[in-house]
Parts: sequence; structure tokens; C-alpha cells
Amino acid sequence: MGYAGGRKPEPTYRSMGDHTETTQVDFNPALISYREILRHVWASHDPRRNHYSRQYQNAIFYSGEAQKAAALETMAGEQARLGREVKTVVAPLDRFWAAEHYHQKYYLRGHQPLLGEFSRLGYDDARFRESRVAARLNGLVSGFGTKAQLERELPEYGLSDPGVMYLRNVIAEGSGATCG
Amino acid sequence: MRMIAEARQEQERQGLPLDLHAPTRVETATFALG
Repeated sequence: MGYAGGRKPEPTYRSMGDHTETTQVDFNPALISYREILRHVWASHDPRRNHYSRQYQNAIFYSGEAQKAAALETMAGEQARLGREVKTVVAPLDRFWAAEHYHQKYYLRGHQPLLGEFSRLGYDDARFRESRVAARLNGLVSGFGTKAQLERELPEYGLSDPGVMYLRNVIAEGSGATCG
Repeated sequence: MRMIAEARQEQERQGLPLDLHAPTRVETATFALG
């Protein structure tokens, strides 16, 4: 989580200036394409309208010519599909400013036993923010991913036995990953 | 958790990447959904 799209240097939640609350995800293009990610982005909001506040506006911030082409092409596709102007902002990314640490991995922060795993392993705030395991656990505890995926990847997470038990319980109770 | 230890050993034998913790910043996508 962070801030982008504005000009104010070093924005914070309480002093965001002209920035927008923004998500930045790392991905491996061998596993998922930028266009596939865009497909999810377009499907996750109503492009026919946008928020009046820059803080909450819908936006795609592209980096580089390939992302620009994909973003503009998919925007044109949305316009054709909807038959009207797309209000979603599509603009080049100038700079992404990471938000304060307490905004990172929001759902995972509700699970202290799992947070404790990262403390045990000596993670600081920046490493926690960039951790693929933290990103995965954040998704799992908020209902994304599958039990099969969990069991397949569990050995790679590096969790303690109590941590594994806790995570399995969260999933089994149904507040976490969906069946599959 | 013997199963996990065994799975880890199997992965090590196969040479698969073990550490999901390691940052692997390949490409980034940046977007805002208000």
C-alpha cells in the first residue's frame, strides 16, 4: 500500500497532498501477465464513474512502454464495451511512496500469532512489507487462495508448528481461504 | 510437522526455490481502486 499520482514529496496518510491511495504488487510475468492483472483491475471497479476525491480515485499507473500500451488498449476495450467514456485515470507512474507500516498487510495484522512468526524471524517493517509470505498470508486469511494451494506452499512459508496450526485453524473456520 | 520437513527436503532435492520470504521483485503493477 502507498501513495502515487501526486507531486507532494514524502506523503503520509495524514498529509497525502494530491496523491491517491495506491496498491503496488510485485508479480512474475512468467506466471501472470500484466494484462491479466489489468483484467482484474477493470473488473474490480465501475469505470463509468470515479471518486471526486483524488485520495480515493480509481487509477492505473503504468510503468514503461509495454505497460502503457496494455493499459491504453484495455481502457479502449472498456470504453467500447461500455459505450461511454471511461473515468478511470490511466497515467504514467512517477513514483510510488510506500505507506506507513501499519497500513501494510491489513488483514494479516488481525492475526497476532502469524505476525509473531515474522518477529521471531527478525523481520523489520520494510522486510515485512516486501515479504511474499506476508502477502500470501494476507490473502489467505482474507479469503483468497485455496486450501490446496495452502497445503502445497505451506512448507515454504517457514512457519513454526504453532503458526502452522493457527493458520490451518483460520482456514478451517472459514474466515480464510475458500475451498478447493 | 514431519510432512513439512519431508516436503522441504524433497524440494531441496528438486532444486526448487525454497524461500518465499526472499524478495523477488520481477515486475510491478500499480493501481488504485477507491
